[in-house]
Amino acid sequence: MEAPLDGIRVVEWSMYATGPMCGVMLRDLGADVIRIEDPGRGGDPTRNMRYVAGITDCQMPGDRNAFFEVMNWGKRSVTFNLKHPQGRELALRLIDKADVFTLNIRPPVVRKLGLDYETLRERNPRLIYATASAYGEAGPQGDRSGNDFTGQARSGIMFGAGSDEHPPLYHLGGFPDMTGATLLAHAVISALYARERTGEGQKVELSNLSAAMWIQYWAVSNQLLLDIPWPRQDRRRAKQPMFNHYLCADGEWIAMATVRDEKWPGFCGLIARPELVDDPRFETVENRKENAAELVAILEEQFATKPRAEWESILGQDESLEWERVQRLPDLQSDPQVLANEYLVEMEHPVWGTVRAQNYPVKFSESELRPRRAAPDLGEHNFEVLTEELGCSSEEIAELMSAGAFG
Amino acid sequence: MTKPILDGVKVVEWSIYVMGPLAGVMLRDLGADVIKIEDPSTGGETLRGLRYTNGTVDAQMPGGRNASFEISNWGKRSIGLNLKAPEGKELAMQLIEQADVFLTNFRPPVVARIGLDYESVRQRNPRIIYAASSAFGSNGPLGGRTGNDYTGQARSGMMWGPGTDEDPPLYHTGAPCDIGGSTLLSHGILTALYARERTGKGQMIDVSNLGAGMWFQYWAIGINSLVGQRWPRMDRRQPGNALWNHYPCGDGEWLALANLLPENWPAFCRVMGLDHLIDDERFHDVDARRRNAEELVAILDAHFQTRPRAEWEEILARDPSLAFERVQRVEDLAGDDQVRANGYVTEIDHPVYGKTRVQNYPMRFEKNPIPERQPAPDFGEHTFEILTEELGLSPEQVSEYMTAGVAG
Repeated sequence: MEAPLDGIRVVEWSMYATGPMCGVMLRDLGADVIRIEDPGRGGDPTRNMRYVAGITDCQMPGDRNAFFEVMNWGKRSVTFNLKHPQGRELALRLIDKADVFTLNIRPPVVRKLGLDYETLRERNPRLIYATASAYGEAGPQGDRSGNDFTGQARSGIMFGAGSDEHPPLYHLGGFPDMTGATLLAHAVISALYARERTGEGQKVELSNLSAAMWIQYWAVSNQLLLDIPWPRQDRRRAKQPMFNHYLCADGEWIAMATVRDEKWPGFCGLIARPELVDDPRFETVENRKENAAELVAILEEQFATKPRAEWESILGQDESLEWERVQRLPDLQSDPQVLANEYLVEMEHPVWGTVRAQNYPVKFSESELRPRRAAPDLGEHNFEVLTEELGCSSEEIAELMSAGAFG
Repeated sequence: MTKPILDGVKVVEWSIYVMGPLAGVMLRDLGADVIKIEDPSTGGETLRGLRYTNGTVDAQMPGGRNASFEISNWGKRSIGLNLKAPEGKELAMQLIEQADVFLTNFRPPVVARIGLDYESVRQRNPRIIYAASSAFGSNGPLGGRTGNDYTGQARSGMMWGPGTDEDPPLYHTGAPCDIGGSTLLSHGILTALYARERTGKGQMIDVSNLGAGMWFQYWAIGINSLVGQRWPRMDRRQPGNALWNHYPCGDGEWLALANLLPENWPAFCRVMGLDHLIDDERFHDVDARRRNAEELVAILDAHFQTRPRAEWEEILARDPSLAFERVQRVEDLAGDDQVRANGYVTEIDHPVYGKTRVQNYPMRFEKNPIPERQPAPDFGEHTFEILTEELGLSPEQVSEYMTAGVAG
């Protein structure tokens, strides 16, 4: 078996999350990913970003950073000074030999340094030029910088969770960044597929804003058609009581996720409240919607009578009901379902020993995925890339280095 | 412009609700011909008749149509086939024989019972990309279980993402696990098509709602797996970094500050007229600001109250190194000039609704056009067309099948 992107060379000029994470996905699929980092600033800012969102301390042993690590597994790193004419020339030579160039640098900076699409296409017409901006290249904010938080704010995601009494809520998972990364990888592969047919490369483009809108397509697209204010969801007044989550006797939560109204009588029987079926307050879908607060209060009381594990075995008697325990992130580490499907895997890290890594999320029956490896040290592969890929002699390398072109 | 990327690629979709069908929409956005198989005995796919979206929003549209079904099935062709009848299943197999991709989100036991499992399908078409979408992944104790976006949010840890420690877990109404799953399915299918160009062979790909829910929190899960701390919720009153936080302005509108770097602090204080805070010993470096975050947020809360949001936007824009953004609601997007300028939302002429706003495919290709969105098909709208044109049946045979309940 071979990996789908075996032999594909990606040059990445990206920082933070969206661009780098796209690189991780392409590398998972077999590509050789070379990062270009700025030697003047100590490389990608996340190498030294101690607190993610100001909260979680990302420092790891060996003076490494957890955030940088997970966004850069298994890549190679070179430190070319793109502001230096010879440093830029090195980058151009590397891109000449590449299939894909990915970047998430603001358009004015890209133009200033002369790594814009038009320039690169002239030199390498088969190149896939994949760019992620904050707001999309067109429009009044085309040149502005932004990140996951601006994407969440602008796109409406922050009003998606919580009730009307909540302020807008930030989601600490990186939805827009991770969606942007996934879509960018998707776009790169689509363009590679197109290149098989046409022989030509092209530019593909998306933004943090488009990604943030995409990952809540359900809300955005439904709202566009229905043209109503999109409601927040208050669990105390859930209009569909079987599509709501409840606190069990042991303080654990269970989510009922059943959308089909015809399941109501069966559900009432299972939870030992059969009298609710004929209760005139809750008889029809419309009744249950109208008297939602009352009904949720009754169900809350009922769920509070048993620990979650008992409810799970009771609800498990009807295979057609959808429900699930509400887990916290650390629970995933020991979740048998997560481990059986290899969504989390163990890897040997040269500095930390055995660690857990989140795996590429798509399974292929006939294509291999490359196992995760450590993120590169800053400039770790300068010498290797300059000699093996660009054919520089050691005299040349010494000259370039003293001229400040890299390192 | 050349043709769309998937021009000439044929997809047979046997999927209901969101995750499978929206993957079909993404493939159709790239130019594929997507044929949706629906069950005639139930009048077609479940979502056609699901009135309340998230139990809350009435999804009924004019012409007896449904908004949620529409957005999950733009531009496909619909064929009614009774897969429980041997003839119906054989017709489906014949369609799959001519297809490049087969996409299903039925539970593995159901798929096996009907006989459209990977082994059976591959025997008829070794070049097929067989895309299986499940709730919890095909392996493990929950491998055959039913689920949806809500179970994905619950199991993946996502519901503890927003809100504070005082809040219950919170459900996100945008269906991120479903949409994320669709996106990964489409991504996996493209990857397998690309691999097929090199190897000549098809294969099976497998994506789950749970895996997607985890993937789109990769940030959080990846870091949590390494640092091993309890993953905190983010309380805006005590955010850790007050410049990565959101504030209500004088007019009640919210503004998000999204700055990560230490050098943002003096720059922020200067444009905001808070110069006296720059060297204040409570706030002078990252650790001090982290320690005294509650106090700093209270000061900034009071300060942001003194002007409406539009004024603060103007003020903050004076320093281009500062990242900030207004906190919008989804209903603000259709009128957002940036959204419009990039074509993320456009209008189409819908035969039933007239002028209709649609959310577009989220990426753009220089050389390959993305076809305009077309209406979702009526149930069985293309049964006759597909059976005669694609499978070469005579009109008499088709009407026999219709009468016998094999097709609908």
